[in-house]
Amino acid sequence: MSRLLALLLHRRAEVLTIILLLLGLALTVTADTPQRVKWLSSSSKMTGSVFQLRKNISDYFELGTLNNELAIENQKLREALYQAQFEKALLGGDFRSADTLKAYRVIDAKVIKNSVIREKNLITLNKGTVSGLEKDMGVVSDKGVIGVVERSSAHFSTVVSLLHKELSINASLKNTNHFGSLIWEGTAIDRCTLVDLPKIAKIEIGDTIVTGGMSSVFPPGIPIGQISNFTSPKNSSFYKVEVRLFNDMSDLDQVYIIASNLKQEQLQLEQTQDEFR
Amino acid sequence: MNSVNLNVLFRFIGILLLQVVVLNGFDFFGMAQPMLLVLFLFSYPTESDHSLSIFLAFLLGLVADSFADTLALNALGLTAAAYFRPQMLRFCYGSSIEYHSDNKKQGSNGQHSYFLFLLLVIHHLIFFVAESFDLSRAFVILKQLAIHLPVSFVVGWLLIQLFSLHKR
Repeated sequence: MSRLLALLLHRRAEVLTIILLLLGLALTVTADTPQRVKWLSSSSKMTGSVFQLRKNISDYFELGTLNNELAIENQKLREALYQAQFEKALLGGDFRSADTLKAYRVIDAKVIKNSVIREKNLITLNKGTVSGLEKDMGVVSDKGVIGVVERSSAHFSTVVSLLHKELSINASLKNTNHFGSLIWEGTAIDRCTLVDLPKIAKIEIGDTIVTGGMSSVFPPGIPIGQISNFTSPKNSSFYKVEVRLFNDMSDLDQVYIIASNLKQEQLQLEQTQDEFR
Repeated sequence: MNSVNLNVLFRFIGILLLQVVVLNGFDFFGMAQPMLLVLFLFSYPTESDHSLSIFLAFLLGLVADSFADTLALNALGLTAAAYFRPQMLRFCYGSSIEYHSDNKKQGSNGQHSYFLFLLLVIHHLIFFVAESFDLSRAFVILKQLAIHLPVSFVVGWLLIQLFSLHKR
């Protein structure tokens, strides 16, 4: 026993290295599971606070540009709002009535940490459960889709970016009901791939891709990108479409989280339908 | 706490903040990010305990990983680099380095850059292999190495010259 102990002490560097490597490997393997060590992620309080501090400093020097961007965005939003109210009233035949059913809530947040060079890129936001953020809420910017909330602490949230090889988003051709799944193959940070889009759809380079209405995460019609290339594989009924994203994923700042007020109802209904299958 | 330990502590915190607050915000051409936690091992005293350097390297990597959502990838890379550090020191500065720590301080720029390069190769290689966790993706791993290694090396070398880390 004493000889073994002496050997271990003599070889302590090797023993320590092996133990630490095994510990590291165990943490890496469980990184994507729900058991992931929560306090070792960027949405934990300590790391989140550091990013918030860094963001506050950099924000101070970018206030002018940010104000201009927000003003332009506000202008577009107001135009869209007025147009939608007008069309609704026109269809209802009553210009005085207002819609009381509010399907979506929008929460604003700032990106305090972003990454684009990994295979599984995550974004950290400066809002958490206190502001109403929850898992599986959609995240968009003024230009289009950013990702889906993965986890929230009280004041911070981690978002699975569009540039994450395991994220798949329901997407469709604008103004049609043909839909497919948008995935990232890890080749370029401004390109995603739309798969499972049926060949019966007529597509052209330059067509706009928007979110489809098949998920409870995003409302339909939110811009994603434009078709930059596509192939039509011979032994398949589906296109493989390369989509150039509207968003510059390496330069994100102001984002909006979309909370669906009808999500629970939709999920419950879908669950009930599953029982009859 | 003696001055050597205090120095190591300051360097630990300094290099961690440099990586987390400054370097993690850089994306060269939207593709490459300098990963320079190995500067801690580069400037770690030659005469200090090897096991302690391995443990501190793991800890540094783990804390940095928690900021970058790269859980344990940096920790793995740094632990491996810390383990092979004595061999690399002997290889770059000569076999008497363990007894004459001045050899490192008086080393040439070529020796310093070679030492930095070897530390970066081990750290980056382990990092990207563990990230992919699939050797069939060897091409992707090599591509990542080819993109990140030169950026890390150039920025690392500039920082070493700027802060005279090779003389510590």
